Amino acid sequence: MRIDLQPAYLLHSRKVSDSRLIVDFMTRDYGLLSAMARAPTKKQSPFALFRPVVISWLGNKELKTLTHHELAAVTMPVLQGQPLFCGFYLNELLIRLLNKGDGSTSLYEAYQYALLHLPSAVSPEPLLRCFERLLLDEAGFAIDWHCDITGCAIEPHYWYRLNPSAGFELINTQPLSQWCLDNRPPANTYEGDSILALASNQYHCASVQVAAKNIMRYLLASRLGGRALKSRELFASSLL
Amino acid sequence: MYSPLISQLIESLRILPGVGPKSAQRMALQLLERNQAGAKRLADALMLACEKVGRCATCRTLTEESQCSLCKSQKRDGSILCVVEMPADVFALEQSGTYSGKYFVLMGKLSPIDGIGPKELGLDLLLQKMLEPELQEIIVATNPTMEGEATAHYIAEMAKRNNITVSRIAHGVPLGGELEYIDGGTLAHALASRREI
Ligand SMILES: [Zn+2]
Repeated sequence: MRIDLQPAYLLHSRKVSDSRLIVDFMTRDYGLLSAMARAPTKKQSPFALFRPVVISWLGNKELKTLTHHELAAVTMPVLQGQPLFCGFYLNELLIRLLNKGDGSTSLYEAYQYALLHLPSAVSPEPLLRCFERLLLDEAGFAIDWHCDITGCAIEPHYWYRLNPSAGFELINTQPLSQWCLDNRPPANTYEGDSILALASNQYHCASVQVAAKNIMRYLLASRLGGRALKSRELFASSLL
Repeated sequence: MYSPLISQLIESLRILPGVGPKSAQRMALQLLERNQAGAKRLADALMLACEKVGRCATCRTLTEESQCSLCKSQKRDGSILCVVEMPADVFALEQSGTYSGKYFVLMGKLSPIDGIGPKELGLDLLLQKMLEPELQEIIVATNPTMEGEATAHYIAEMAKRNNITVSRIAHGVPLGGELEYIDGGTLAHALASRREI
């Protein structure tokens, strides 16, 4: 099979010899792609992250042969500082959660949308949450955001516990103050309206942002199995 | 078609950068047929280096001493520290003959997918150095790749928290280069780091 001039983003590259690399791309129409590539000469554009490119490849096996690589004629804002760390986080998520060939055009577009808006976003959180939600769906880990595990609609003022393999489980229908002495919800327990806000990707409210972050961390951790995301270390405010 | 010992030698030579099966075979035969003495010297040098060479306790570069000669030198200015990715970058900067401070060698760059985070680059050791009163300024000389940029930003944030002046070496249009042939990303960088003349 031969594919010509497919829009893509490089997610990772690894040298296998002086003249060859294994490159992983998120492509627009073919999902995650791994290919063997020749190291670019001085006159060719180097393999760089977060820059839109067009690529061509050959092959039927999982590891393709890259035949062409050039910068796309689109300009993107340069990622620097925290937005750059977010970019590394997105790349690690894609590589860790997708199999070769997984990932739709909408996921490619969501990735591109995030790269485009991260540099100017007041907070990166809503962009990251939207992307994580879509990615989990596409990686085959969708959960129901509108109904609990018995099929009843999520109610805004009920409380639910998240079971990462099944979904949300109703644990209390009363306001928090009536069943929780210190007025703090137990671990991994969320109010219905936060879940519904996440369902519709509405993150303006600070309490929703906190709940969404916890829900996503919990879901991602259960999908990633034991091994934590390395790019999270970039966000630690202090090293020790 | 070669005996086991010769095959093993050919296979081992292939770990060298740029050495494919054909050149490995040529090297092995050359050593065995014409230069046994040289081959023994090579073997000894490899054995010794592998056994003795480790990391400098102060800057992490490769050395067989506990502290490398640059770190030990009294002539180097200890108030400035230049952070580079690899030992070869120290060599390159020394060749330029314009820098008289000390170095810190990361032995890589931040690359989360490869499992390389702040700890793997010894940034905890760099933080210790930032806490020493002697250190005033840090120059980050990581490569102009996205990974190099991320590494530079992380180090800059650490330095700022510790009230240390931090700068990044300029990169952009190479000396003798022509704008027409430079890619957009490099030009964008060069524009962003322009200076008054
Ligand atoms: Zn040293």
